[in-house]
Amino acid sequence: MNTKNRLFTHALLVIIALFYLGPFLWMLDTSLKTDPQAIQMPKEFSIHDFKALVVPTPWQWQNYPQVIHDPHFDFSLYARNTLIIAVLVALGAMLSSSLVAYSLAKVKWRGRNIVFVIVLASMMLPFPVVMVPLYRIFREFGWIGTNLPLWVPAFTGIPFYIFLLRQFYLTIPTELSEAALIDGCSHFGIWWRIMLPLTRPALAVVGLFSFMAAWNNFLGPLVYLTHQNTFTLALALQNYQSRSGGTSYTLLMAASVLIIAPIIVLFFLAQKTFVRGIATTGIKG
Amino acid sequence: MDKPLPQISRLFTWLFSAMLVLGGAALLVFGDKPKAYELPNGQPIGQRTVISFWENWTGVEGQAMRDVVDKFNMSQNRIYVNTVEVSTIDIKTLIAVAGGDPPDIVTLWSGDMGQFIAYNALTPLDSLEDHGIVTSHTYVPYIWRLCAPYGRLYAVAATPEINMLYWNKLLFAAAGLDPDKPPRTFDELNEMSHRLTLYDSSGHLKQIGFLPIVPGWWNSMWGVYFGNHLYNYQTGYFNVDTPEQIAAYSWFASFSKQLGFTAVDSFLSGSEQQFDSPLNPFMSGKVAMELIGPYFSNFIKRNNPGLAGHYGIAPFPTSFGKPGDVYHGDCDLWGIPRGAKHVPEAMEALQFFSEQDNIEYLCDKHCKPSPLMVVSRSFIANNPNPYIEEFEQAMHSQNVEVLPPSPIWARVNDELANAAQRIWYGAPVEETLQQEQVLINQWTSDALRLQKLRARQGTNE
Amino acid sequence: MSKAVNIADGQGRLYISWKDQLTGMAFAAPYLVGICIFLLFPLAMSLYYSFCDYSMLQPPLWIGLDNYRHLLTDDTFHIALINTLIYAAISVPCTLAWSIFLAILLNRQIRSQGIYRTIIFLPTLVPLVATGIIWNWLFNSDSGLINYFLRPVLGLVGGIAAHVAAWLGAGPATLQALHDISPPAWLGDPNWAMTAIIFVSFWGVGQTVVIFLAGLQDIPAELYEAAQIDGAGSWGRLRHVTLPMLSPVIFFNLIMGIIGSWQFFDIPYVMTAGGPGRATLVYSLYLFNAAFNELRMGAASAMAWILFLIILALTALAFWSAKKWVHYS
Repeated sequence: MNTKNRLFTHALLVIIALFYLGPFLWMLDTSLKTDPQAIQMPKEFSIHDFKALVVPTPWQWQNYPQVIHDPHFDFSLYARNTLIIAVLVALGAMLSSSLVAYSLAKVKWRGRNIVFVIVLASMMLPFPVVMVPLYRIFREFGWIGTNLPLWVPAFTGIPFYIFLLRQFYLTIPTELSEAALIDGCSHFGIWWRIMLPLTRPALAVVGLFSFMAAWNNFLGPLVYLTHQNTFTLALALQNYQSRSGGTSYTLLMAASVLIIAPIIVLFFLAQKTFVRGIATTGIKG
Repeated sequence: MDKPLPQISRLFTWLFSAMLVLGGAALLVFGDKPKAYELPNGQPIGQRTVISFWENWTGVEGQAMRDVVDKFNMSQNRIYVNTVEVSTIDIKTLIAVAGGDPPDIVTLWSGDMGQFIAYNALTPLDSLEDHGIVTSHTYVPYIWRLCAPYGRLYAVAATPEINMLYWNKLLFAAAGLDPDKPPRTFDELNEMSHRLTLYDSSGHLKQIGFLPIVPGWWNSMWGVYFGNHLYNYQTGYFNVDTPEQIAAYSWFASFSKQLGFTAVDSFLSGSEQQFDSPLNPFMSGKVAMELIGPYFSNFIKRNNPGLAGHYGIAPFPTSFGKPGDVYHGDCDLWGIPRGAKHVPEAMEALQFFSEQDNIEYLCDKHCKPSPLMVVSRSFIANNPNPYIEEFEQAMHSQNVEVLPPSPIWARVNDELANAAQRIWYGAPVEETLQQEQVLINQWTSDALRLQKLRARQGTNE
Repeated sequence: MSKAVNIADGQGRLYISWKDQLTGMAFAAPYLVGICIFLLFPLAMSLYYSFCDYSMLQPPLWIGLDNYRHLLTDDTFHIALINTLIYAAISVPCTLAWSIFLAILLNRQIRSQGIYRTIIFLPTLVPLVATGIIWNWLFNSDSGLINYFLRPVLGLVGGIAAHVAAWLGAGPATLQALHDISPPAWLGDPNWAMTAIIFVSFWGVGQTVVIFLAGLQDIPAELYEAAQIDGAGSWGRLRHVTLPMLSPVIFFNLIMGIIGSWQFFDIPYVMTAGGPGRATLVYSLYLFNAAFNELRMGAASAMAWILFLIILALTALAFWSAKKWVHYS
């Protein structure tokens, strides 16, 4: 690519990046302002006003302690609740999805094609279809108001990840497992000692995706968590937004920053694995 | 792929797990665990039965409730009430009742009563009535109608609200109006509103006299002031497209037509939802008149003390008579959901909450009148609401319209509020209301038919 | 043993050792139990409820096709259906095209490529509740950043347009209207609320872009070289190499997009609750309200089944059309 082309690409990407990054920066900015400053924006656009628009005066750092110490927004409790659920979901999704995927890809048994078709079909099933009966089932289990409905199903495998991992296992040469079988290794041994290490990048993707899906899940907690002290961060944030009396935008933004920050840090650490992991899983179907 | 993966992913796996483990450990150790219950004096609760109580108020009002709960917890040694503050409490309660995991006591909105009773989702409070603790003589007439809509007691009253017109005397004076004379008819209201509506030099709205969408909570109830009875208690049907309703919503729409909804939206820019904040349009002096309940005095004192001595309250005009010939009233209620695990204990707590001094303590903190028929002299004397006597007088009125105790009210209310919103945005009044009438008739007849069917089959659990 | 393993699936009767059969089933057991409890059984129950009056507080009462019949005459349902249709018809193809564009851009070998990729992926990590809150604030008609920037832009455009109109001899009313042109109230205006919500969906394309990126990296460089030798320009390479080679990935994302767009819930729930009026009332939101605000579980189940059929039909349509445009190498 020549220099002119390269410069053009950069310029384009900078503009686009602004669109994707801008809202975060504005959120951060608002979270450090006072309420009147946040609400009363200059009516007319001008360069001189720009400083008044962007620079919080005074810097309202106490918005953060205020959110954290708000008796109705117990940040560390919600973070703890969310983390427990997300870790369990990630663990469950990685373990059971890979186990099921292994059996669908590498073990010969009657009926596995039918199961694979069910996996594919269930990916298309909209959650609302089973929402009402699921609620009823969890009620019969006595699980409403606990976090069980949010993570137990992950331990039975998640169709999308089963599909991903199956495709990935298919790319691993059969000779590998065959040799191990002849050496007297059991299927469980192969899965545990050969397949899991080999598929680490794909597993990382499954773990991360399911972790984040659980971290961000809203509809599930909205329906199943009936007690404030079991709330997750996403639900607590919505609750904080809609509580009677209305919540100020600056505090709401501070709360949002607190919720988003950990996940962004996590992603920066994992950025490369993400892109590569997906590339190797053969998502393209 | 250009490069093999293992190194990166090993590093990543390492970092990821380290972060999870460290962060998780830190949170588990230092994070707030659900707290162990303790009495207000710091004592452990011991062997007491813990009952859960869902409350929707935060702030000063929430604190007042907690005071009463503390008092109850200290008054005996068998029960501990655990108060939980819950937002959008109506939906959460329904979900929890449906899920079989309800609290023992819940604060109800009166609009939910019909649905809760029809679904058999509330425990009747017969024992309170039988022992003469709460009877039809306990409350002012309209409150009793809310607690026992069909004669049987299903809830007890917490703090009531009855709506009045608040007006900003400073803005009245500035507009050349008599600051001590509120509008007494709709013509006067419209005329004053017109004079109180101001534009800035560039033609943008600067101040509005009256806006029916602020605070926007009564959009389904404007017919009240035009003589409409929205609900027919005998038949269970709704009166949606009566001439009174059409008059009411034509009046409602006239504000949007005159001012332009885009201009109004830009003028308010979301501040109409801020009712307990200095940005509230009435408190910031952007809107000169507002129809709202007694608690508003508390909000004004909190958010704009400068306005405190300079506003008045008056009954809202009616199209057919004097102001105050009809009011719109409401009340927070306490009930025991079906499926609650500690009903006798919850009854005992409700009995305690309903004692006169506790109710008066709460109403005092809420800046509200009392729901009780009998009011102590000190309550009137000490109430922080400067207009407490006017509110008390309104409470005792025989003509207070309340939200219909219809089993389908939640849905009808949504629908009507939505229709009002569409009318605000320009939909034709008569046609819209007629369509709504047909639709709501359909819903009502379906609901009634199913009710009969269920009664015949005896399927009520 | 090895013989059995070597026989490909579906080629006649193959020998399966009982040990393998047991192992396979045991490995798949969690899923088999899972789909029975969390999928097949609820699916059957939901079909049954869709023919009942059911509030979850009372036992279901069989009412036949009534739930479905009422949906036929339910205006709000029709509006929710149309809103979702509009949302899906605009957001799915537009975000797909935009994602391909971004992926191609991000696939170029330039410096700080990783940073750009990260930035574009970031929004998908944010809980949709937070996304809704952020954009609510940005779209605020008076204090929002978007209108702050739009106001001078529209002022300028309006001014220029007024000059042009004056030159063309337009009346004073038209000129005034052009001068007064101002940004919409977005979420406060029923005519613009859906536009705002669709706009937000462009912010969350990160995951799709990453999948496209992976697809782009799988296209062999030789194909581009061959195309270049044949004299294809950059447009020709895009049309004859990139898009055909990418078509399986496009197809995958299309299916995911269709499924996702019909289940769209969090953003309108948080940003507008379906308003103003019913301007942003989408299917899943109406379904949720019926189920959990009004406890009309039977009606909600009927809606869910219709939703399922719609998604199934659209997916089938996509699969059918795939024959014509998806190239598997």
